[in-house]
Order: sequence, then C-alpha cells, then structure tokens
Amino acid sequence: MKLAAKDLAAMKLPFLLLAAAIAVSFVLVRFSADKRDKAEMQHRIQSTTMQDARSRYQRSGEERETILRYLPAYQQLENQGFVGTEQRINWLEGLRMANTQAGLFGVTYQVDARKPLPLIGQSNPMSQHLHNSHMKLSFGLVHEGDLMRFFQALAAQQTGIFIVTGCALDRAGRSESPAPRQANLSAQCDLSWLTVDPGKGKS
Amino acid sequence: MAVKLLLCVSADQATAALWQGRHFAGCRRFDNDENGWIAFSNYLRAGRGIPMHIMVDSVDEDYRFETLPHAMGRDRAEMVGRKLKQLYRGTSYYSSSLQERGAGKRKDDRYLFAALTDPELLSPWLRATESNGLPVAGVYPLPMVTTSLIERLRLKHTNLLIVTKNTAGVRQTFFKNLKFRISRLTPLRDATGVADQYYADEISNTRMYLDALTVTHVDDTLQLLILDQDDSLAGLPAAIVRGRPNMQCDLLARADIMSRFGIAATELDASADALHLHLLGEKKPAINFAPIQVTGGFQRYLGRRWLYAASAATLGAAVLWSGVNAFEVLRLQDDMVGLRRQTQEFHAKYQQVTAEFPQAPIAADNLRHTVELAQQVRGSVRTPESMFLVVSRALDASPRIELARIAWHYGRVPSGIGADLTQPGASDQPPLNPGSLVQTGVLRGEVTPFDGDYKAAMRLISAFATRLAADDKVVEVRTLRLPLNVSSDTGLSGSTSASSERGSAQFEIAIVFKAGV
Repeated sequence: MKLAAKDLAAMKLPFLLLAAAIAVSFVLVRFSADKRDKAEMQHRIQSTTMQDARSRYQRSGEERETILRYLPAYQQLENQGFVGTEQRINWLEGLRMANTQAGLFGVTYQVDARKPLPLIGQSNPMSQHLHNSHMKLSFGLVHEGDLMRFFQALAAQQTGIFIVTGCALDRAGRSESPAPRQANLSAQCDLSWLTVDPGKGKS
Repeated sequence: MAVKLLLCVSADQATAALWQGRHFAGCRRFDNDENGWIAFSNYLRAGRGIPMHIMVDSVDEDYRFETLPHAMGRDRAEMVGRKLKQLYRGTSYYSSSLQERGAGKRKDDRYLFAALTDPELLSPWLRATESNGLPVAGVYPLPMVTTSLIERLRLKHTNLLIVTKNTAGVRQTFFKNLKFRISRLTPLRDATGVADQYYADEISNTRMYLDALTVTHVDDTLQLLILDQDDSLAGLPAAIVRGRPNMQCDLLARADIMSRFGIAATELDASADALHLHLLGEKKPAINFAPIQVTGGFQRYLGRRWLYAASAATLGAAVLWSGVNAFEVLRLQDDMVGLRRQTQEFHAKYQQVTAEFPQAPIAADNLRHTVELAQQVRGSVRTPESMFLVVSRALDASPRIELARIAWHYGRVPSGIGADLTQPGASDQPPLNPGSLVQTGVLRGEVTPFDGDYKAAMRLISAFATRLAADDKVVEVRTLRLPLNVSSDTGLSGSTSASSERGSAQFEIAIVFKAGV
C-alpha cells in the first residue's frame, strides 16, 4: 500500500504526538532510572557502612585483646625510635658508644635523607609507611672480629632498628701479621635505619 | 469506548444509528431523495471522524458459489481477484469469502462471491459521508449481517431459513449446514391476513427453488426462524405450515427479541432495521463490499488510532516503568533510614565498649601490624658473619691464599654476580626468587708466595674456590678474575725472563649464598 500526500497529512499530528510521547517517555524513564541508580548506590554504601559498624562492634572484644597484647611491644618500639620520626641524635650516640665498646679507632658516618622503603613485609599494610635512612660508615679495625663486635654493640644500644646492607673490608697494609693496636683493616659499611610512621588516627 | 455510525441503506430510504457502548444512542430515518440526502448530510455534520458501517438491503445483489483450485497467499488473492473482476464487471462493490474445502481428491476451495450490482444506490449517501469527513469502515450486505444470528441464537439446524421483516421488505436467508447459501428480498405488503399468505407463498416458492437446486431434498425438513420485531407476522407460521408438512416454524416475537438481544423497545420502534443494525454494531460481517477507494479514509482513521494507541501505550509504559522506579527509590530510602539507625546504634555501642579499652595511640589493627612489621624487619637482619665463617674455613685449608679485600652485600641479587641464578637450570640449586634477599660477596686476593708459576697458582685458586663452594650455605662461586687471562678472545703479553717472573697472582671470586641464609 502506497502512502499518498493525503495520508501523510492525516498522519502528521499522530506521528508528532508519537514522537513527543517517545521523547517524554525516554526522559521520564531516564530520570527515574537515574534516581533509582543513585538510590541503589547510596543504599549499597549505607549497607556497607552498617555492616562495617556491626562487624567492628562484634570484633570489639578481639580489638581489646589486640590492644592488650600489642600495646607494650608498640610502646617499646616507640622508645627504640622505630615508630615515629627519625632519632638521629640517638643513632649517633649509639655509634659513639658502640665505637667505644668495640675498641675501634673512630667511626666516620654519613646519613642520607629519609626515603620510603616498601621492601620488607610487603604483605603487611604498615610496610607502606616504612622509611629508610641510609647511613654510610667508615672505620678501622684491628681484625675482622671487631666488625661483628661493633654491630652487636650498636644493636645493644637500642637506639633504633637497622639492617646492615653491605660491608667491604680492605687490608690497610701488606704486613704478614696484623699489629695488635692499630687499624689493620679499613671497613666501609652501609646501614639502613628503619622507621615507621603509622600516623595517629584511630581507624 | 468505541463509537461508530451504523447506516442501513435500502432502495427507498436509509436509517442511521449511533452505536455507543453496545447500544444505540439514537436512530434516524432519511428518505432516498434530495431532502433526505440534505438531512442526512446535516445529521453527519456533528459526527465528523466517527467511522461509518454501511449495511445494504437491496434486491440489486448477487451471490454465487464457485470452486477454485486450492491456493495460498498471493496466488489465492490474485486468483480470487481475477474471478471477481470477471464475474462483476459493472460494479466495484464486491467481495468473496472462503466457505470450505472440497471433499474430493483435489481438495479445491469453495468460495462465496457476492456483489452489490447497483452501486448507484449508495452514491448519495457516500457523497454526504465523504463531504462530512466520516471514514467508511465497510459496506456489508444485510444477509451477511443475518449470519451472526446463528452464533447469537446458537442455531444448529441443517436446513435453516431465517425470515426477517425489514424496511425494504421481507428477507429470507437460507443456511445449509449453518453456512450461507441463498437470500431473497420480497417487497412489503400491508399487515393483513392476505400479506401473511403472500409471504407464506413466497417462502413456499423459496422451498421449491431450493429443492430445484438440490440444495434441499423434498423430504428434508426446512426449519424456519421468523424474527417478528413489530409483532406483525404472528399469523405467518400457521400460513406456512398449512399443507406443507416438511416445514417447521419458530417465531421470535417482539418481546423475545428484546429479551434475547437486549434491545430496548424504543430502539425497535425506531426502525424495522433496528435488529440488523444492532447485529451490525455488535459484529462486523465477513463480507465487505467496499473498495479501497471508499475505505481509504477508514484506513487513515485506523492508522491514526494505531498511532494514538502507540503513543498512549508508550507513555503508559513509561509512567508504569517510572512508577516502579519511584516505588523502588522510596523503598530504598525507607530502608536506608533503618540502616542509618542501625549504623548509629552499632557505633554508639562500639563507642561505649571501647571507652573501657586501654588508651592506644593508633587503631588496634595498625598496632598489631606495626609490631609484626618490626618482627619481620628483625627477622630479616643479616651480618657479614656467615660469610666470614665460610671464607675462614676455606682459608684455613688454603695457606697460600691471602685476601686483600672482602666485600659483602645483602639485598637483591646484584647484576653481574649470579643474576642468572634466578633462571631455572643455571645451577644445581633451585632458582633464586628475583625479589628475594640474598647475601653475596666478592673476595679479592692473591697467591703468596708467587714464583711465576701461573699453572700452580691457578690450581690453588681453583682449589680455594672449590672449598668455598663446598659449603652448604653457598649456592654459587664464580671466578671473576684470574692471575692470567688465557681466554682466546683477548690478547696476552708478558715475559718469561727471570726479572719479570716474580709478578703477582691476583684473583677475584664472587660468592652467592642461598636465599634465607
């Protein structure tokens, strides 16, 4: 069946009405669907918040146990300088004391700026807050056994937690047997002083 | 609610009725003359846009049955169209209806072909209709409207003759096995006993005609149904059956018609065609004479109706959909009020419980993680002591090896020293994890005393390296530098003179420890 001009003229208004109805329907459905989507999203957020609050309340006994168990150790770490800002003065004091106790001839040090160190304990969320302060040490030794005594003495100071990352020992001279009271070996060591800054917020 | 205008056209007059809500809303009669046409046109003026259904009650009609080969779709339409044009050359008001399929082997189709042979009868009425903008839905023969009585009255007679008294005359419509076969129109006579006998004779003639056509057999009983809407044919049944034993009569009087069809007395009084107009209003007949030129306006009307309906359906669906969305939004908002209240309750309970906790500088989980991190850090602390022990044991068995430098490193495997150990098959040991922390060392020393015998010096260095590698903690020992580079890839120079024989036999060895040591 072919449409004549007469047919088209007769259909003009109904077609316009249909187009208007489709447009209005689209706007109506779109608007209401948007509102529904937003409401669903807010509901999901609110539901999650409620579940978190309930879970936190239900785990409050567990939380108390955690605080009781770990707070002393945490406070000890604070005292040692592992938690919080760098304790450079304490580190240097520790170096001085360790030098004396190990019977060395003096330690030359160089500390770099603190940098993030997301290396150790990556499965631990707090490793994101771990920082490394690189320290380069130069000192003389009577023999290689002094090196270990020095590190043990430094660790005993409890002025922080450090990791020895490298050491190089060079013979100072070419004598056949080491002299008893002089630096027969020169040591170059790299230390990493580790600190963590967990923030103060209670989440 | 569907509104339509019904029109019954006969030779002398036309009767129009407005059909609304399954009842007449008014009925008017117009003479078939100039005044009647003008009055009809004026009557239609108020009904612009209302579809009109026209019923024709005229002797200028033709019905015939034809058997055609069975066909479907376009083939059937073309074949039937050709047959109609062949049968009815003088009119465009014709139609057909498939009645049944033949019982023979060919299974031919049996068609009813019908036409209004004098279309001029409709012309003045159609002109008025068109000029007033009313779409014509169809033009139907009155006998086809009568067909709906079979279903309406649940008639089941094999040979049924329905007799009705209309404006144009007495109409006899015969049905064989409940299918239309023949219809006759007899002009009216005054309502007297003579008229009854006249109609009875006409019916008797019809019976003889049917017998002559072998549509019925002489011994067959013909069932008559007389619809007497003005109670003027009460004597007709007696006149019919008098001396004619094979004919039985049922008469539906005015009261019966009113009760069985639900037609008001005023409607019946309005016109003798009221019953058929009522039937036309209820159901559209199968045969429609109107050509496409006449029903074009109705097609546009249907198209507009469809578009309006589509618009309404679209809007309705959108409103329904939006309503569901709005209902869901309200439900969610209502639910959120409950969730907020529960959250606040849990929060308050938590605050109440935690008020009695020891004061912690950070959250409990962070407290635990910080302590565990410190433990992990402490667990990963290494010193050069392990390497010193390994090297010392090897040196004890190698008195002519003297070290000038020991370099130790703890971290990821340095490039150049054992980097290939992360690849499978690089050594006898399992491959190192590229991210794991391992201890490595580089020893620099010399063979003393050295008398220029490189071969002996190389053996001593090799033995020293083998002793280092024999340690369980070591995964790989690699010689980085030897006193003499005998590789074919580089040049080699020197002197075997006595003065130059006393050089040095320096070497460099790298050690890679196992992961975790």
